[in-house]
Amino acid sequence: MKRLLERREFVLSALAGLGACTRQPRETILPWGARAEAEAPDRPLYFATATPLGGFGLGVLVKTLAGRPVKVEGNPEHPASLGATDAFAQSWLWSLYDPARAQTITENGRPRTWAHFTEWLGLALREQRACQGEGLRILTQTVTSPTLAWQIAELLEAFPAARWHQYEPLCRDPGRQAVRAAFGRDVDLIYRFDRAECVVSLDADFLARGAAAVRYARDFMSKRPRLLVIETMPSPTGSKADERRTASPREIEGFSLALAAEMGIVPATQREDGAARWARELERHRGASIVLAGDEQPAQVHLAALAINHRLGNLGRAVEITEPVEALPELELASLSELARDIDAGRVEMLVMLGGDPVRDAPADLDFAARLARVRLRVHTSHYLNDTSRLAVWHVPEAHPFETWSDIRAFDGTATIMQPLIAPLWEGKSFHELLAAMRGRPDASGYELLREHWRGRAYSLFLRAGRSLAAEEDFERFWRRSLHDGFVAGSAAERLSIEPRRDLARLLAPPKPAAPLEVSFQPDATVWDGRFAGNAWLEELPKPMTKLAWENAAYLSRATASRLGLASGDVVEFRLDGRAVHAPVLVVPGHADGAVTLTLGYGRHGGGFDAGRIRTSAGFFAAEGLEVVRTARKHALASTQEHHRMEGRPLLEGGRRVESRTTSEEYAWGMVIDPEACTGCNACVAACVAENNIPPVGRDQLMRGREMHWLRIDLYAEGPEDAPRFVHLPVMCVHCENAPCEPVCPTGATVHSAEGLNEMIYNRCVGSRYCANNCPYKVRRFNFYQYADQTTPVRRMLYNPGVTVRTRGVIEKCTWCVQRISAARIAAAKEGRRIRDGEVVTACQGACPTGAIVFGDLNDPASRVRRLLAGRPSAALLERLGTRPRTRYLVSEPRHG
Amino acid sequence: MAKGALAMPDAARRYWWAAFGIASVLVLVLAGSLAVLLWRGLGIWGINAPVGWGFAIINFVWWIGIAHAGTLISAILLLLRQNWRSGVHRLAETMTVVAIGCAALFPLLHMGRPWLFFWLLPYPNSMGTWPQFHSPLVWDFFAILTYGFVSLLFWYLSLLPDLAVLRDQARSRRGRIAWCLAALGWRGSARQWETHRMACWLLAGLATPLVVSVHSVVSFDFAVSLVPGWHSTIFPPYFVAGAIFSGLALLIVLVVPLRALVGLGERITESHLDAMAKVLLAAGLVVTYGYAAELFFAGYGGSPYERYALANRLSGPYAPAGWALVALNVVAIQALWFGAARRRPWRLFTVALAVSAGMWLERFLIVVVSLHRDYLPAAWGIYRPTFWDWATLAGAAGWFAWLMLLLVRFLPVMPVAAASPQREPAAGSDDTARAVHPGTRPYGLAGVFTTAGQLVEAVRRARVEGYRRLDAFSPAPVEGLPAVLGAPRVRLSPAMFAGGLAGAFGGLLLQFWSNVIDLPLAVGGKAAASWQAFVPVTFECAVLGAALGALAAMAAATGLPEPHHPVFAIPGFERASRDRFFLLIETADERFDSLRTRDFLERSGAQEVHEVPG
Repeated sequence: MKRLLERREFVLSALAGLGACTRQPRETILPWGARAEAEAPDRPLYFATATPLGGFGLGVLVKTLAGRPVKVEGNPEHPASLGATDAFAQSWLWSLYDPARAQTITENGRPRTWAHFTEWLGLALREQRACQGEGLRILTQTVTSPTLAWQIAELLEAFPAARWHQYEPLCRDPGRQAVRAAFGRDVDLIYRFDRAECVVSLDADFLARGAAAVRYARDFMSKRPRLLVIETMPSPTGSKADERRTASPREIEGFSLALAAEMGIVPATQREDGAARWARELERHRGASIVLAGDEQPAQVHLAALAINHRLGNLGRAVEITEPVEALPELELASLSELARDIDAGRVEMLVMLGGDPVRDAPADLDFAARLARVRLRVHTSHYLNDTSRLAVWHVPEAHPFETWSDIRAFDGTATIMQPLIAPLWEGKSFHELLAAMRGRPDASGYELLREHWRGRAYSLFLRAGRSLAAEEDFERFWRRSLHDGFVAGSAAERLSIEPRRDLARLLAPPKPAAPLEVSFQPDATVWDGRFAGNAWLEELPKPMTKLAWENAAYLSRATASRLGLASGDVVEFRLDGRAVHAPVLVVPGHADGAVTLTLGYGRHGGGFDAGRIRTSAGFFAAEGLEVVRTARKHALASTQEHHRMEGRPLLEGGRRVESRTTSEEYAWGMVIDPEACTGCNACVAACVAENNIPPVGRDQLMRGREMHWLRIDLYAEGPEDAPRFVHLPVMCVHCENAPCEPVCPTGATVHSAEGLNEMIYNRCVGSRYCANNCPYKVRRFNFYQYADQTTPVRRMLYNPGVTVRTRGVIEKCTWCVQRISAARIAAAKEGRRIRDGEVVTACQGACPTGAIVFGDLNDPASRVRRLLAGRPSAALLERLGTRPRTRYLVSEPRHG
Repeated sequence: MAKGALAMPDAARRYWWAAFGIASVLVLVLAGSLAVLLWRGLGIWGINAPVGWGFAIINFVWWIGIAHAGTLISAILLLLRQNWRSGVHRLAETMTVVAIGCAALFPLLHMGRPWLFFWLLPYPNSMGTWPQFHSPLVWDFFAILTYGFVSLLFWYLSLLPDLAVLRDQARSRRGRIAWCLAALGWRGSARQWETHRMACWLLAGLATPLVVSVHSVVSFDFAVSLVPGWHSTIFPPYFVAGAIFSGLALLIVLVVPLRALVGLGERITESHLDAMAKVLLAAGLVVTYGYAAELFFAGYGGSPYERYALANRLSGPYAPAGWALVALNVVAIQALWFGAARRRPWRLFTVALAVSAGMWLERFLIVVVSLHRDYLPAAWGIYRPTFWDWATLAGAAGWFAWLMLLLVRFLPVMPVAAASPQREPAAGSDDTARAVHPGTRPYGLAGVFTTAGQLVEAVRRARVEGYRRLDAFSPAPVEGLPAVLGAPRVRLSPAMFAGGLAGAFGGLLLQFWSNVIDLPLAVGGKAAASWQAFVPVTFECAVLGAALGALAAMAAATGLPEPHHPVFAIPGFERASRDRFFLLIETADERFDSLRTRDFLERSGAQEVHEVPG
């Protein structure tokens, strides 16, 4: 037996480099909904799991076909999702099948096997063991994963002198400092917009940014409290404000203190009209109002918000206090600085970096690249080879979230056990496997590790619920249930009813004086901190408030631009504390004067510039004294919209309640869109791209006006340019009953279905593009080249087999997800019934966090679309043209008087 | 090279070679751009969303507009008996045919999948599909097809006697055979001339509404849509006028240098140019009226979109093109009010060149500037032509020039019959008597006359003598000859009418069968049987049917094509296309007697009498 094993190991290690197919122990993953027994292979199965962002999870259901994940949907039972997703969750599929991902374990760039690596690891750690791990450091991003935290804790037990650091370039340090100061301990704050009547956002883009945005957007739009926003850069949240003020970061700080002063929390230094008015509004809604500060705001602003919430009695009501969700809440910037100091002191011999790209995104003053080089043993694991990977000695490809067992907690602490939906396409390893290898278990699978941990944890969970975990079957039942549901019941962070310290007001320092040109660093709407750079689905999404794609720009207001003598597209050199970066500027309507907003995450894949180059620990989220040096260069920005003016054209005129006539056909499909509920977050666009095999075209083609998105969100900024009113208008094919595109097609490639769909027959299309010209909504897209990748094998796995992959030379456009209608029709026919209302959910509708899109059968008197149309005034886009679109837009009735 | 067709001085020949060289390079550029286009896709052009149509459609409309001048001059001026047309109509017709060849390239190439262009043709197929006859592009397809066919027929028909001239002048046997086949065996018989005259006349009548319809249909591509700047009822007349305007302009651009180079000054006189300039001015004024009407309706109509579309032409990103259009198409032609501009060839040339460029710009404004900003401001875009757009534009111009250069060099640029009825006999014309095969019955006896008058007189006398099986051959139609020959009247119109009726019914039936009965599609919320959409194709089919009817009747009446005929064996018959008149009396005639008939012919003034071998 021993000899046999040896031989087997030999063969395996010899084959490992070729990506050998090893016989795996059976690990059962569980589909969501139906049981998996004996299903037809073409029948899609949905598995519950989660997608990570900044350490927090969003519960999703991943549709797999014949073992191949093809679409991400929200998990309706998961508290962070409630059935919807954000654009990031959708786009994880692109990276799953991305051949550009790191594929092989490397040592100094040379391919190695896992066995090589673990052998090396064992030797390296043996040295460390001798000195209690004094020279060992682990650097992770923010960790909420209970299993990972447990593993790290175990490792630290074995190496007591080792240290664990966490760092993310978009950490939540200021907020953490504030709660620590206020409560004397770590807590998390959860906002209950469903309980709020009035919300004041101090530069907090809670509707579109962060781990809770999907849930918050849903709660907010179902309740629609009055929203007052003060911010520097227009955000989706700001675009939904009833009253929106623009202010530079310093002014926001001053305003927060003025607001606190109006509440009588601190003595007033100067009166601010707006603040007084907002304070009065807040006071009208004691206990049912929320003041929240953006993650990038300084601790002062967070403290002010806390003090106001406390004063208004919101804490525990509209603002809940919970146990922290992170495994080890930490001031991450300080943590990284400590690591840097340790490296300087020569105390770090071995640095294991799980994920992230600190070389790239650490504060510029830390010069992490130079410091990293001083560490002898450098291990890095990540999805893609990034700047840190290239400096590491060993690089281990990080398994994709859909390839591995893991766990993660949502913003409210609810844990999800992440299931692998496909075996690793390449040699990816999870953090769990890497840490197990560090503990001398190189062959431990993620499955074993997860179950090991959760077996222990289940006991305490059950205990908390007042039950006992009697036997192994109980654990199996718990395990199966948690996998099936996509979350661990009862794992949400505990609500706390604690009070902040009484002298909270004393912590509030008087505001700093106004500064010269300020700069604010923010996450990018599509590539976040850069982790999604290169993800073509995300890169190609036009950013909600600028409509730029594939790159960023330095955003500023018209007034600031003209003061500096700049126009959109001018390339300038920004200088801050002796550091410099070149960037094109973009004038953004509604941006605050006296400040420039720079977004992080670009400059890595060719597009955009790296704002991180002038970002230092001292000015991590905002800084002042930015110098602008003009250059002679111009840069053509890639944008999907020329400008945001309405040109005096009414888009949605009138608005009336519509009683739908029942047609002679069985179904009459129709759609209702509520532009008021749209935040422009792009989740629908990403979902449409994923569902309908829409190929990204790249920056060059996009700049030529050839983006292929079937669904776009038009952004209009009405009114004065310094204080515009923003309108997000999702526009896809509106399925005109008198469709102008149809009669002009010479071959009859676009025709109307009896049920009211404007259908496109790709096979019949010869590509005259007349239909696209004659479409007043300009929703038709043309394949100028062979955009869809039909040759890269792994890319072909991405395609939804229910939708034709289009070839060069044909027109395409929104089909209202006709494949989903067909699937529902077949399901209904099998059971001999009509399709039920809500059974057909278009991809965009399914992803939309705010439920702004409703699709259904107008022939069904009880359907939501029909009731909405009858109950609320609506208008068709360009109704005067007489095209009679089946998609209607709800027209807002004036809110709040 | 055809003598007498185009006497080309050495200097002109050098210019020709230079021009031909440049044109050949441009043809290579065209071939290269098309290869790249087919290999890589339409993405090599600057088109995008919202500007789905770019240079290809502009070029198409421009060339098809130019193609209207030929028919205008040949047909309309023929019907109006404008004699000045005679000097330029061949050139104009040639230009038409070549321009259609250029124009037809673009609708094909602009398609996303050009290899499937035949899907626009109605033919039964295994997919069970038909073209969608509500689409102006299908109307366009039929219109261009019909126009191409009729123009070609018209051009060829008028060329036929001249091809016979080339045949008779050919020095080599191979050339003679080739020209003989091209001339279909034309022998200049009285009946052929009569049929020819009538066919030209009738085809002119047919082509006149056709030429109006074709550019109207082209304008429907735009007018039927709802794009602001396209959706307008003024478009058909405005397009037709624009077509004539641009076609005449290009004709002048071609005529002036040609006239200077090859010494056609006596054939195309300053008064010819003057007449053309006047028509150019008139067409330009109609076009200007069209602009004014567009402005008026945009302003008066109350649609903010239309108003913006018009304002955008003169104030938007493409404003320079808009103002250039005004300068070239409206301001420049005002010079033609003055005789000094009309009668000085190079001044006229300059104005015409301006108009040619201006009309291209007009199509640029209509196609691109209307599309780039339509209804939703968020969907606006900009169009920037790429290298390949320009290469294709230049290449197509080269292709036009290349074909024109070849045709003017090798085909008579003027109708020969009109050019030199009394030309010197060609030196060295072979007079070898053909051997009469003994034992075979001869076909007849032929008398050779030197003037048309002698011939008519001889025919009249032969009729009096009782001869019935007569035929007369002349280098040009001879007034009164058919009457004295007593031949039955040539009637082409019944066949044309029948053909037209069959075409119309066939076309209508085809559309109803395919789009209403066999494959009714729900398009645009319209009833499948909305007959209004079937009118253009029905009309084009009627014209095509009539033209085919004329062709058939012509073939029946003349017996052409008939590459061999016994009369070709008459010694010196090649002069029948130049300066001799022949009277043939067949042996089949009841009164034929070889001696008496020979005697009769000699008495009638025949210079020579030849026996025609059977």
